[in-house]
Amino acid sequence: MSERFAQFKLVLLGESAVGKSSLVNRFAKDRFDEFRQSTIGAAFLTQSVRLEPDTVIKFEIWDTAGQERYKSLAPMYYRNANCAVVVFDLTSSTSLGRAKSWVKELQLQASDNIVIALAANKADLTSKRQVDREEAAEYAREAGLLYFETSAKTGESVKEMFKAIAERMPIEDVERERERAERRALDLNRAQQNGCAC
Amino acid sequence: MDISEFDPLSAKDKTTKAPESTGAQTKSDEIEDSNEEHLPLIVQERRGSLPKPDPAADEGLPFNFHQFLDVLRQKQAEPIAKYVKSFLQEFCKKSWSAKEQVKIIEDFRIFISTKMGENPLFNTPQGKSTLNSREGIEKLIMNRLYTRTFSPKMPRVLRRDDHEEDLLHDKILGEKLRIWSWIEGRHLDLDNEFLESNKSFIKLASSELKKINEHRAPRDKVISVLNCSKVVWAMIRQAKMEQNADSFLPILIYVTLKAQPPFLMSNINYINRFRDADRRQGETGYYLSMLASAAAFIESVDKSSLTIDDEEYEAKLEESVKRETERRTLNEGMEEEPDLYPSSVLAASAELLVEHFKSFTTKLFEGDSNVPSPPPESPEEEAAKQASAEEYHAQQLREQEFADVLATLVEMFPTLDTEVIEDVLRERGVNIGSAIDTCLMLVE
Repeated sequence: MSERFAQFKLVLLGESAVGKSSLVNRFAKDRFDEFRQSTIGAAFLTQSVRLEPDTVIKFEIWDTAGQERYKSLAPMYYRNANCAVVVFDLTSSTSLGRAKSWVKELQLQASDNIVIALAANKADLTSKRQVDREEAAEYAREAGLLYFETSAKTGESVKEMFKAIAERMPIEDVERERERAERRALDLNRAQQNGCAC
Repeated sequence: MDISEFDPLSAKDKTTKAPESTGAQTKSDEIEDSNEEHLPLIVQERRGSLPKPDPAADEGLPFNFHQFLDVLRQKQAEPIAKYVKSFLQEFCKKSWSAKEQVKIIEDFRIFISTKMGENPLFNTPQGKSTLNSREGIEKLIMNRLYTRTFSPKMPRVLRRDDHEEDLLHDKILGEKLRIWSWIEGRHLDLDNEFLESNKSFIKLASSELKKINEHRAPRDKVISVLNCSKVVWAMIRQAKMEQNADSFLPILIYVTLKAQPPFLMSNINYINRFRDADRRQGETGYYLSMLASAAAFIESVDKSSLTIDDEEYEAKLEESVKRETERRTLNEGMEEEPDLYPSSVLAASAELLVEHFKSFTTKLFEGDSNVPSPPPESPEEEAAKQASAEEYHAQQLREQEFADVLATLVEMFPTLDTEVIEDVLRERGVNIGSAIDTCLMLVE
């Protein structure tokens, strides 16, 4: 039986020190299946998630520079993204503020069906927590986001978050698109055969 | 070992092996697989010359253009060659907007790949050639159509609005690159000392980026971008910085400012338009977006996007704007630089271009393959001499490049022996990306 397979673009947004790259490294380094290291450098990673016995979702993960001065460049990265992980540091309430502004921007400017997950990172630093769980979760619910409290250090909820995103990816659309492309190739050749081919 | 036997790509993943051990190991079956775009062995043997740098290794895809052309020359491939010929003729019959060009070329790609799939010559059991053929077709047609699709090289009569926009965009970015060329690392929160001690990396990354204008095929242009990115990553790893976009982007911006690459926007648009859509995604797409965003940053820099005090900012900006204004005054009246926009000459030679296709099946290949003709028996001696002179010149350029790259690498890795680096470089076929990887590993 053939396996269902589809690839999706995931963009990673968040302030510089919130640990977004360690979060993704945590996810990508877990040898889940067919892990393939990127060939050029560490800001672009791929990792697959197996959903049912017969479905594999592969994420292309695009890291973005989190410094304030590069904020206006973000649209060049989230264009055509199927999903986004917006990361903040739960020991810093200002980083949540930045995260919220990213969410707002994505909802206004990114693809209509983009799936957004809000990751409250550094969940292992319980004593330094500044952001209340209920409050952040409530915001996420209202804004229609997935919400996970993650720790890149311990691995807490990291896999779960990516799995939850994977479950929301429109695999049927990808398959339909694939069929459409195949049909187009056929049509072009038929057209050629009927017409003059010198 | 004769370096011409070495296939840099199949050895790519074997970076762990020390250079001195290559002699024995490369005799393995990897050589049989040699799928690379190399100069013909005859030329290499005769002159004991260097292999042509293989840009493919960094894209992780085997591609052998000569092999493709060899297949296309065969009798059985005639229908395919005819399709290509008539496509090129049709394409050259009128001017198209860039958008139309993309559609036309994309349709032809789909059409021809189905045709090639039906042809046993192109469809080997391993399915391996399919990719090679697709790459081959792209390189062949885009090389041919370069002066009709790459805006800065297009004659004015053929340019449509979107091509003019490319040129305008190039002009604006070019100005901005010059105006902001004074930006130092610290203005982007990069330590000046760190950049100073790694300046050979910056130099190499810039020169790789500038090579984007030396190539015509979209794939080769992409490889310049990827090589540049690889050098930046090597620098980040060497300096033990955090390996993420936060570290990468500022360095790439700095490199772009140092490189001052002409026609950057036209190049990016050309790649996005004409590089095979399947090959333009993933990691390649990511690094193209990185470069485009670096360009966008440079286009919109202002005081708020730099770490700088008012006084220094005003002084530096005033000076560079003054220089730019003088430059503009100097260039007034020379609206179009003749060597860059050879509109009238090229338009006139469009006829010749069509003429050229008449002897297509023979001539088609010669121009693209870099293969000097075998020793001529009679009247074409003149032409052959010229071809061989050109090849000799190309060889000299390659030797010069080899020496330059070697010098840069020696500078970058002061703890390694020059001989070791030379071995690495020969082994890698002057492939910058993998040569640097190997050197880094030897250092570590």
